Amino acid sequence: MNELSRRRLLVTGASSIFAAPFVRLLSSPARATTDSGRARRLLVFFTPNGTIHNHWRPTGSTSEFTFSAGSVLEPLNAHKDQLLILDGMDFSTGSNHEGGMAAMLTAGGMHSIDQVVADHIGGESRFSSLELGAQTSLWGGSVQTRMCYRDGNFVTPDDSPHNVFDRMFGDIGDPVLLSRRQRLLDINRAEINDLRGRLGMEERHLLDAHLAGLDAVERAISGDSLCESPAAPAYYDPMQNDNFPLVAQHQMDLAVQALACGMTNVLTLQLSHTVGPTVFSWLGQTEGHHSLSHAADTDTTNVANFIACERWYAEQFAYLLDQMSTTTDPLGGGSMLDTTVVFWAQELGDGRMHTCESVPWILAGSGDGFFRTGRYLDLEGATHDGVLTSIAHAFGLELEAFGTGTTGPVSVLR
Amino acid sequence: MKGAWWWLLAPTVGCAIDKASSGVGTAEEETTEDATDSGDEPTDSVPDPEPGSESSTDTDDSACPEDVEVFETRVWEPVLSTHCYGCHAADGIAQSTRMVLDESDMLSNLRAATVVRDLLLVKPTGLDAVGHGGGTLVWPETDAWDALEFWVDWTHGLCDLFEDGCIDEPTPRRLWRLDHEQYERTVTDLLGVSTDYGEHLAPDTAVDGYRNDAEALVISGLLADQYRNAAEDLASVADIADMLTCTPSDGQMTQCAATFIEEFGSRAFRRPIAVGEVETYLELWAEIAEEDGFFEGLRWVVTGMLQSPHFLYRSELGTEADDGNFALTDWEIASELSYLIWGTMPDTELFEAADNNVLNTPDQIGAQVDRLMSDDRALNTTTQFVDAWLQLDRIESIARVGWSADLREAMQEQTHETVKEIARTDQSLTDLMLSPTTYLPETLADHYGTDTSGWVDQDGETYGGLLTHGSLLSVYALGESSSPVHRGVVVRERMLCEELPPPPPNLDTSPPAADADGTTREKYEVHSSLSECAGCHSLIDPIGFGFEHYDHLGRWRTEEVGQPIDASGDLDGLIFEGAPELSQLLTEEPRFRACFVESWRRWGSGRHACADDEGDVQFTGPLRELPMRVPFTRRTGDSAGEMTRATGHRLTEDEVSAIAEAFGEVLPGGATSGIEFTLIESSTWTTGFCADATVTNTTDSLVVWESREEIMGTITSIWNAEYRIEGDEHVFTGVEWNAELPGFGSTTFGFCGAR
Repeated sequence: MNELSRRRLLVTGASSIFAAPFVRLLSSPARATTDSGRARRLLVFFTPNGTIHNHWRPTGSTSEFTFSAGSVLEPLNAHKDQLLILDGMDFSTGSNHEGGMAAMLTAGGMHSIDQVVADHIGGESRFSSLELGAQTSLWGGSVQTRMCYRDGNFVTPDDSPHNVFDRMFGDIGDPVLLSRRQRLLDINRAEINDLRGRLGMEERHLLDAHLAGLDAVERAISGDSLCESPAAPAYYDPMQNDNFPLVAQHQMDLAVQALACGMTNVLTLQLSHTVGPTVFSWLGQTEGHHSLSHAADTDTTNVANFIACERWYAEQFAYLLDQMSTTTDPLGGGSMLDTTVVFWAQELGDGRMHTCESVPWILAGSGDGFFRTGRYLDLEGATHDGVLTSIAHAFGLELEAFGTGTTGPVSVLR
Repeated sequence: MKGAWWWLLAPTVGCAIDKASSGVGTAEEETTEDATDSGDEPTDSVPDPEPGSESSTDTDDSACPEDVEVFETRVWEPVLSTHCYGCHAADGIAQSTRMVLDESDMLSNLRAATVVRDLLLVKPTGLDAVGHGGGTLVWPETDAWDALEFWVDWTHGLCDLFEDGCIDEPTPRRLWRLDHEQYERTVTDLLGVSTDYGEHLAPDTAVDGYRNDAEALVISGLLADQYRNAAEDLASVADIADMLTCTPSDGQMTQCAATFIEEFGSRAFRRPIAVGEVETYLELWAEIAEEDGFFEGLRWVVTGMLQSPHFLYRSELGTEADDGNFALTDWEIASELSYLIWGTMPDTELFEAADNNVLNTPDQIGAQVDRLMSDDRALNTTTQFVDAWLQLDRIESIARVGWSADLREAMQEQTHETVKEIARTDQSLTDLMLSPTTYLPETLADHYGTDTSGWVDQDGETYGGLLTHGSLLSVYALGESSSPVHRGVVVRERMLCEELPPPPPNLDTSPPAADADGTTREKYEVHSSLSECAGCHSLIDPIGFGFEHYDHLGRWRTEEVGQPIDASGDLDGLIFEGAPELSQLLTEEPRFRACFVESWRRWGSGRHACADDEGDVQFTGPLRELPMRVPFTRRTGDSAGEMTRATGHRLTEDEVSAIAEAFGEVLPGGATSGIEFTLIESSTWTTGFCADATVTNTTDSLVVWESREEIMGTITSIWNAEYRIEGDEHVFTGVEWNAELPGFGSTTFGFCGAR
């Protein structure tokens, strides 16, 4: 019997980490007419299980604040001027692990903010949006493990950097291959439509989703890459706990590359999921992140362990901002960070209380001047549907409200 | 029959407290991992009402006209017609949800409201985790709320008229996409290529913890792209020459291609391919064959069929029967049987039975069940079921102190081999839970510190039965300690089918500072001392305490932190000592026996199911029984549209020849007549690459081969072949031993180069 191992095909002799900055443009993109003061790209970064506020909060005033030594956000010091730190923000709907996870990017509606923005600015890019993850799906898809929604359905993140690499840099651009692939898509679409005609109305939704999926495939394989392909990451098992840091780094590298190369304008990067059991073994830890998130203030050992995990997540976010700020926006106007809205979302406030109050969100990058960064804001109970509305506004999408919320944009962000 | 946890969700009850009133909380790890791990299908995780409302469960199971009247006056008129109908009408914005209402058909409304029943209390009230598209419409302490609450109670007492599974009636028509394991096995059987592509596909949504729920198996853009990639790769390594039953000689090219399409297509689609489909794929073949040769054309045919909905979905559509239902076809039944029992496509015998239309009576189906069950492939199915039922597949990704890949594999081997033996020797559910005979791989025996490995008889006091398997004990543990909560939850939710709600918000779940000298049990016993936690945890922890003799890696211990282990437990008032006694209690527990059957049905049917207690059952009994139930062969549904699969039989040679003749002969192109050449880049980096090439003689006579290719780059090393450069082309030829290829023979070579 012949053997075909995907794993074997993916093994390469190349180095494991891209050198940064690594974007090598093959040609200049057509310079789009972009409005100043309007964000060009959205990058959502997620980490789970809430925080412990007194280890997270900066000290000082709105414009004069510092991250105290040992606190969660200290690793973000270099990017302080590019941050908008949101304190005192409650979710407008949803509570607890599942409710928070579901409401975080949807505010109770059928679509998450990334999908709404993608419909608005997805434009001609190969991927309307890209959803990347690190160990999000070990338990399968569920309300706990998904954060992106379209029409009330989960949008599944891709947990494999190797697969993401293939999708981004695989054998696209060969006209013969493309015409054959399109030929098959046409045959398969005709088959689906034929089958669909034999079904009752209520039985058709699976095939409708399938057709939409094929449209996305066609768009993805039809485009051309503006960038030279970097070396593929060497193979490892992205589902093994100890590979979590490697997956996270590769996905962040690929994320920046996908945005800078114009493959997509909307990207989500989901590290683990609510109730995520990741054991930060690379920090010498032995207990899972979710367990640690329940440490009482008096349990100083485990609080310290949890804060170490949270600081590690902050370091990842800092790395992402490093990459964005050292990569020039090919459309002009500064660095990628300057023209993008980067957004660190979480689903819970204090993880021990399972509440969605004072949920610690951070906006980074001003979206080409749309948001006034370099500030630590107390939103005093303003709700997150308002922040999501503001994010939509940053892209010129003048929504009155978001999800089931009614707040409207949060003016103090600008 | 489900248990009585409804009160836990009732808005006025629960263990919610304000943090200010008690700064002390509890659970180190709450119950949520499994409690709500049910995807976006909250219906299935919402528990039944309190026992008092079950009074009318046993009413007659014919129509219940009084229900319609009650429904109309007490629910439809005050709430559904006013709050819901606007969006949930057939043309409303909520028309794609599971509740579609029709002003003129009260029975249909009753059915819709029954199907979603518990959702009525969480969706419009804003309590549902995924929200409600229409926002919050109903608030507590209103008449509307009371009406919905009444209805939920009432439906739980309805004659089980609309319950899937519990009563044996047809279920809706559907397409059921192959799950990833089925996909992997199917391509292996179809193409003769052993592969691991299935495990690299994007994970599906879990419903009730199962990843094969038909409604949830959707093909997203991501998955469609992975199917595309897999189809291209698999077709490129499949030995198509070996699958041919004809010779592609001059003048016979189209004929032979059509024959292949008919034969391969009927296997790939698991039913006779239709004339129009042969023509479609023949046209595809011809276009590509004219450019790149006979076999390249067929490779794209295979690539296309592997992405066809007829391959990716199992059809359960049937044909209209006299009673207004749909009768599944013999081919659909063949697939149901093979996927249920073997997890793969039908074998030749099943196909032949379907072709001959002798696969639809209970006797005919029963005979095939017996045949399939006697094959080793059925044993793999039983282990897959147990892994899915108890979510033991999570062992693949857990992190534990002292963990290793060897230990994980040994634990999986113990469970799989033991379960297979129970199945092979027709043992019962009680045997699964209590039998002291198990398979202990050497690694696991060493881990436990015992001398004997292989098939052993355990003492039944420390170890014995499924609950004492290392796999279960390690999955349901924390990083370096046992977890009474996780172990209690798996028994409550997976073995008694009683779903638990997550801890309510605003309850401080941080445990009091751990007493370093305390035992695990002592740390968790605080749950029962705090009334706000006891409500939920009294259902969990007393079961989990029974496992305290096993540490986080399943090792037996008699003491912890210098104190003797207390493994006394309590299962809803039944006191026990240790896991083997708990196993004994479970086997005598109607809820457990019913849950076991329900779980088999849930897994085997890919939809919500239920079951009643029928005493001890054969371990594989519910599996054998599924094909004999009505939903296996009958479906309900809207009247079908135009039926396009009209042939209903395998095409004869003459029919295939007629298609080929009508199409006309095609002259395949390609570089070297009779030779096909494929190249796969086996690795690539910024400055270089390596590639594997396959050369196939597509004729039945010996050839000396030569292949001209455009290679982007400079070859730096080559093995098993030689090359020279002519213009833009690299001309590859064989070395001494493979320059000549016999008829239909093939050879491989490789090279690396710089870009």
